[in-house]
Amino acid sequence: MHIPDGFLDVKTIAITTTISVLCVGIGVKKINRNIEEKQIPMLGVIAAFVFAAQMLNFPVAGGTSGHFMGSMLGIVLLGPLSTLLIMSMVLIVQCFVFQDGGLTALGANVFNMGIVGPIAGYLVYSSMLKLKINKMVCVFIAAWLSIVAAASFCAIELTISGIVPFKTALLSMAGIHSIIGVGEGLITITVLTFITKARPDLLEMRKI
Amino acid sequence: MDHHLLEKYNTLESTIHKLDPRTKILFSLLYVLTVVFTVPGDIVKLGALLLVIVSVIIMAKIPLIYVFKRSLVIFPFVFIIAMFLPFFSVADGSGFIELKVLGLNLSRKGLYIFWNSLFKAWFAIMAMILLSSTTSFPLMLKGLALLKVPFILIMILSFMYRYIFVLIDKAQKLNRAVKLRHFSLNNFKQIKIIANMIGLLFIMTYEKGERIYQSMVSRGFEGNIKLMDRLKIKAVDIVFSVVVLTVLLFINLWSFL
Repeated sequence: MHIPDGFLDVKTIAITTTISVLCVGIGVKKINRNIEEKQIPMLGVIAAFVFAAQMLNFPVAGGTSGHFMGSMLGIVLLGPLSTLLIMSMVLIVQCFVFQDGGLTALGANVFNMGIVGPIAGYLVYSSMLKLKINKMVCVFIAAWLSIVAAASFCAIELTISGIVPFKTALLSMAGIHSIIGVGEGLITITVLTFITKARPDLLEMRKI
Repeated sequence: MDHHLLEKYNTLESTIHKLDPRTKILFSLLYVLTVVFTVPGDIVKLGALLLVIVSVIIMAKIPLIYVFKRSLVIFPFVFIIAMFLPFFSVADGSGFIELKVLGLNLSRKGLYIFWNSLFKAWFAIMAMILLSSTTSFPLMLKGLALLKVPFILIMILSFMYRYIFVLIDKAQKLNRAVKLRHFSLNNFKQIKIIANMIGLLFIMTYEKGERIYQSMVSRGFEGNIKLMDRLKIKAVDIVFSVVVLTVLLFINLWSFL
């Protein structure tokens, strides 16, 4: 769901970029204050992992592209604000070095994959955990929801910019990603289960 | 590792390569913004913008064919938009021309959107390819840091870039181990093994990353990326910026009048 340059109109670019810059600013402030030394390599490793997961992508008719997102891994290990920063940095490298996603659409891409997706995932995950539901079930549902939410917002932005009709955009983006979401959920669960067994201490870092 | 492939032309010597990364980042941003905010259908402006980017690519001594090939990644996205052209037709009342393609009617608005996003996306991606093939990643980071991107973000970027190659290394190692033990992973029943391998890959990368970080800290790393050459805005940067600014301003004014 990386939107290239030239697909969005001025108002969509302006709105999404403003929101993204504000949120990243808040994230930077909070994390600067609270980060533990152990978390710095973890931020880098999760970013590299998310980057690798997003490398596998294919174009989606009427939308942009389909791929894994990987935000729940960051949320469970490091918390939502760290995830926002991780996703934003992944998108910056993809934009600057690999030309995946446009420079003017960077704000919109960060908004979809760094803010909408992770927040949706985080809200569902944390509220379901309070209901004492099995942790991995929570992770699976949250991961599925986060990727579908991000894809839907991508469709909405393309529609607002007058590029594709709403119904086709939403159907194709949300449709494809509800299938990808199952894979995303399963992979996230496996990695987290493995970490729980092999290095349970990594799950106990401070969540920001 | 395909590291060298990615930065194939970063070591060339040219005026553009010698520019300060800040100049290049700002040029790319300005150029892409001009492209994106072009009024649809302004062919003269688009032509002038193409001329600008092609001449800078030639100045950078990067083969045009290489940039062209890499820019092709954008086309699947644009053509998929094209698939939906027929759906725009009559209803929006934007003028309807009879254009029978494969028995479908194409509307003027649909075609308009198609051409518009095709050229904008294409020009913008050429500018970004130019930036990434004339600036190495450490220099790009230094440029971003000097442009006041917060320290923690630069840290994440630099660690992420380092660890991508660690990750590739570890993945290749795992793959080799699997092959040595002679089992293939094509069978769907082995999905559990594959799943565990992904988990293992994560832990392996993390542990290696942790060690890299500790050894960096013990050698005096404080988060700054230290470069041999100190970055300074040189005369070349000023000349380049002035020329580019004048040209882009002229292009914008021309189409505005």
